This record gives sequence, structure tokens and C-alpha cells, in this order.
Amino acid sequence: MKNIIYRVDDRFIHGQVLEGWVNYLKISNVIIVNDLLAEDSVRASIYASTLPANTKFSVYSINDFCSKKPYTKYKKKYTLILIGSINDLLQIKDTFSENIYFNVGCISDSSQEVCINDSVFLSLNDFQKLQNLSELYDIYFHKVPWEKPVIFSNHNRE
Amino acid sequence: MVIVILTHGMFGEELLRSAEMIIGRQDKVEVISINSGELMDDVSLKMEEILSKYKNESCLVYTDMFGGSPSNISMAYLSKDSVEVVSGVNLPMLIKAFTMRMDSENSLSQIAKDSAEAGKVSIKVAGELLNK
Repeated sequence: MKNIIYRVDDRFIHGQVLEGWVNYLKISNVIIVNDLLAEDSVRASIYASTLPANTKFSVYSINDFCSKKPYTKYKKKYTLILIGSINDLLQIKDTFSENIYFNVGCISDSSQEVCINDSVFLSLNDFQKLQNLSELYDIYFHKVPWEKPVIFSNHNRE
Repeated sequence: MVIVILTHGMFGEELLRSAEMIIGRQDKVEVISINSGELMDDVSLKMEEILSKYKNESCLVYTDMFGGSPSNISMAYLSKDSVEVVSGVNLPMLIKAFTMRMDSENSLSQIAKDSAEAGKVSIKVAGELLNK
């Protein structure tokens, strides 16, 4: 798996992320990209308290993340970048590259039209946006690392 | 004092049922079960409704796993003096809390501490006890 993981997860750090990604892959750096959390030190400190002591943690607003590209200094270790929505993911598209593992892990609104699995529910609008993105990059639905990922099928892509 | 059990899935419901099998029916207990496809904002709303319903009471929240969504959500209410959160809930921990709160002299923080300890000491590797 690529070292830089972009995971769309509206719960940010929770059981799947901690027991799955952080502990299983021994992820060194966790970054949350979210405008609200960048201004909310209480919630940020709650998330920070849940991580292993040797895991670096930071929160960036979308603009700061795009301008500072903080993951570039950790190229040899796993870095998990958590993004709260498909819209936020698209807002950081200037940072996208072939070196990123794109993972849609948890979007937990079962009132949405498209059920991908028991963790991911998408609006038709978000589904379309992912479909467009999948023309450029491999997009995976991947809840926890020991489960087989499901790639977003795009038959238009060669 | 109200006790809230906030867990992934139906674990909290069943834990309460098991505790009541042992020590009888309990009042002032609320269970919130977080299921797949449930928005965290909706869970927070349930928590706020409980705090509002028992606004004159202290509130001890038991969650299943530190770092999980139930803990993260409930920890956001720690700024209120009348709320405490204990993670890693198990049956001995919950029973200790239920029995301690029968005595009104026991404070929220004392019940939180003692029940957490009861939960910890109840965990045994039985083979080690028998010098296997």
C-alpha cells in the first residue's frame, strides 16, 4: 500500500481508524483536514488523546493543508490523512498525486441513496463526484486494512 | 445520578439487561446504541436530550472503547462539572456503579473511579490463578 493514505471518514478518529489503520499499519502520522476542527481545540484534543503516544497528530484547515502540504516530510512512513466529506476531499485536489492511496472509509448517513457497504452511504451527487475522480485515480472503499478493498469501478477509464 | 451507557451496536442494551438480571431493575439509566449508518450529530443530539431531561442530576457515561465514537462523543461533554466518562465498560464495572449510587454520599467522581477499578480487577486470566 502507498505510504500516504487519504481517507474520507466523517467520524475522523474512531474504532475502525484506531484499531484498523493506526495500530495495524503502525501509522506514524495522523492529520485531520477540516475547517471546523481546525478551530475547535477541545475536539482536536479529544482525538489526540486517543492515539498511541508515538503517533504524531495535527489538524489543518483546508487552505492550510493545501498550502503547507505537511505530509511531504514523512515520505518513508505511513501518514493517514482524514477528510470529513467528499466535498472536502475535492477541495484539496491540488495535493492529489499517484502516490496517494484514496480510501473512502466511512460516510455514515444511511438516509443517502447509495449504500456501498455498512460504513459508506453516498448521495447521488457524491457518487457522481467519485465517479469523475475515478477517471484520474484509483478510488477504494476500504473499511479496515485486513479486509479486501473494493475499487470504484469506472469503465470509461483505460 | 443518571447513568448513560453509550456503545457500538446493542452491546449497551444487553449489558444493562445482564446487570438487571443480577441486581434487579434500575431507574435513571439511559442507553444509546450507535449503529452503522448513524450520523454522529444525531447521537450527540440524543446525548443532549438526556442531559436536558436530567438537568438537575449528575451524569456518569459508560462507553465501550476509548477512542471509539461513543467515547469521543461523550468526552465533548466533560466541560460540564456534572458529567464524567468512563470507557471500557463491563458488567462488574456497571454493577459497581449501580450499587454505589444507591448511597447518596458517594460522589460522581468517586463512583467513576471505584467502578473503573472494579472493572479492571475483575479481569483475570483464570489459568494464572490456578498456577496452571
